[in-house]
Amino acid sequence: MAHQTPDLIVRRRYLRLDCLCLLLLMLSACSSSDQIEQQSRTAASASQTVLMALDAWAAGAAPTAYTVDTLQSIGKTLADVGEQIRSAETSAPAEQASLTKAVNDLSAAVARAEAGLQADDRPGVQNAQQDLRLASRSLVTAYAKYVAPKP
Amino acid sequence: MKLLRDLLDKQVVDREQVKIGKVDGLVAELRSGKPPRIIAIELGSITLARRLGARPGRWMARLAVKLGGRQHGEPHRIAWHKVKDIGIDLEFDIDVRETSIFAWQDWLRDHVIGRIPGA
Amino acid sequence: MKKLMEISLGVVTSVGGFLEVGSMATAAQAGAMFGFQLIWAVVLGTICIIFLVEMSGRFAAVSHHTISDGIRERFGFNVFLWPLLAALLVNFLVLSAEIGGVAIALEFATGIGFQWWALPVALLAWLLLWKGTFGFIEKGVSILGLVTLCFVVGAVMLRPDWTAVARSALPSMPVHDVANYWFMAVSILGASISPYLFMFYSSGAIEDRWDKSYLGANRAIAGLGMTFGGTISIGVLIVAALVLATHGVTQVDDYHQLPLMLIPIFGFWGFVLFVASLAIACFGAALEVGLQQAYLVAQGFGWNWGEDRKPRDDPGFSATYTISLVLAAIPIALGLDPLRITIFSMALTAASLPLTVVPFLFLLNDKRYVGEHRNGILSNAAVIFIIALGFVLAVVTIPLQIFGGT
Repeated sequence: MAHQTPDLIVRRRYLRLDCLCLLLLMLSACSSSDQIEQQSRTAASASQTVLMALDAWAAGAAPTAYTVDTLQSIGKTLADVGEQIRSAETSAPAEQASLTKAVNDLSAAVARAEAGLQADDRPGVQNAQQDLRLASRSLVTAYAKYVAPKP
Repeated sequence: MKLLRDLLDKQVVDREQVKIGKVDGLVAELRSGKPPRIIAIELGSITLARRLGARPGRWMARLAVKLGGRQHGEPHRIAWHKVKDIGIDLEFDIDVRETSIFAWQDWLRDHVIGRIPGA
Repeated sequence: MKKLMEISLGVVTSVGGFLEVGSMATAAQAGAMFGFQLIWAVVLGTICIIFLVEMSGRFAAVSHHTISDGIRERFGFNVFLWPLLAALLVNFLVLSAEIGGVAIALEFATGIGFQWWALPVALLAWLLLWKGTFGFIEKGVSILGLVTLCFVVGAVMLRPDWTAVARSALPSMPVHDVANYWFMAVSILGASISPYLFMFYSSGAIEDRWDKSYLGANRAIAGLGMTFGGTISIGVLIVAALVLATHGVTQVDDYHQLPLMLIPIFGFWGFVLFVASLAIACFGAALEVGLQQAYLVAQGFGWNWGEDRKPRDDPGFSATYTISLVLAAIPIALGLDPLRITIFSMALTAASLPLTVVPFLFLLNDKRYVGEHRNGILSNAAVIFIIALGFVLAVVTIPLQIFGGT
């Protein structure tokens, strides 16, 4: 009797592990598995954040220090996202390349805007904002091409 | 009265209504031919650790001796005949200041808390 | 008249306790990504917390015991140890998150990095606990906490489609990001049903010397106060949906994004209001959670406790909140992202619910504690529902943390 108990415990533990694995599998299947798709959406959201922050700053509604910090932080996110998209494995290398380019353009524009903020160079910031809008538009186009059903 | 249900883990207060601790353990005397009789309650970390098992109990006792000296190697006991009132709390006719139950709190007060301004 | 004062004060106080960095961050994330769709989670969480708070207030008023006292006495030390450890751990994370929330607000206001603010914030909180009285802390937190109403004002000013808002009070299936959707639902529930809230409430009832005559007030405070708090959370969610999502900001995983919610509505004042709301709500919550850590330990081991007493009279009690505050400040001072700690701690709170809620089923039905004021069918059904919900949350939280977490 006594030697049976540990065995039972072990078996029950295996069962619980099995359940957990099954659950993990199910969830991983549900969650959007495409790295590039997810990262592109993060990039889109990040670029809109920067535009919002810059608009707020231009209207005098956000302090410069806060705006600079925001751009720095989002800039890091964009750099990270660009790297992830570039290195992801995909069957659509052309679309991947245009997505990578769009994200890199975004990163560059954010960096310019940040420099403009620090130098209190309003026209410079406005230019960077313009580039940011353009880059985020090309991101949207590239994303649409990427998710479109292939012929 | 069901001892375990009604006594164990109850709040203990002294005659000044100072909260001393909870009834962490009960000490009973086994009598031949008669039901066992409660002779004391125990308080403190050693008793609590013993409830988790023999080994944690030994560890805690060793730790208590190391920190507080030999006199802290045994749990605190309050004799059952000192009990004054059994209500929501168990009131004992003792003064906690005359026991060593709060030795660590006193130490804490004298060495740490009391030295911080505004205490 | 005095009772009415007491009720309104209680209502306001519970708002201070309800709205903190967790409910603000989770509501903002949910609104940005899913629009109004997750309002049901706030509603469900609010209903659950109303029941739990009412019960812990009733338990304290009738039995003169706090919930932690009750768990220890009714179930014994060996059982009590589990909710104790779970609550200490969850509270530690929540306290860290709240200190982080204040630190972020100070970073927004000054431009000095949040990690430098962690220790000063902890010190200020400690000073208030050290010198202040329970009533002072309770009232101070609550009156200043009213600034968070700016989210409700903002939501109304944005003229949302109220029928769509009302429709979202019922759950619906997500059309995209399924794992994220459920992870956010879990985090919102964790943020709303916080164990520290109902455990703190029962200690507060003892500190304020409640007796049976407070049962009516207790019911009113629990119902109105939590509804009030939930309304503000919904306000945050609506604002996030209408401001962030419409600007294309769908993912809130950087705390810098949060002030942008109010700026389009109030301009520069929006920034100020956001910073003030975040700082005050989180600071109030930090005081409560820090105090709750000390209540929990002191009540569990039967020491003297009471915020109105001098620290030197309760060395164990005051040492506990001191250590809790210092420990909780460390992760923030080391520069760990407060938003991540927040989201993580909310999910963990949800997972720990069964441990802290199961005792309610026994304590609130035990005649020796609550006599004729036992739970009715409705309250018991609510507890059983929350326990079941807690178990489901506990099982799904860990995998969701891996796949849905940001």
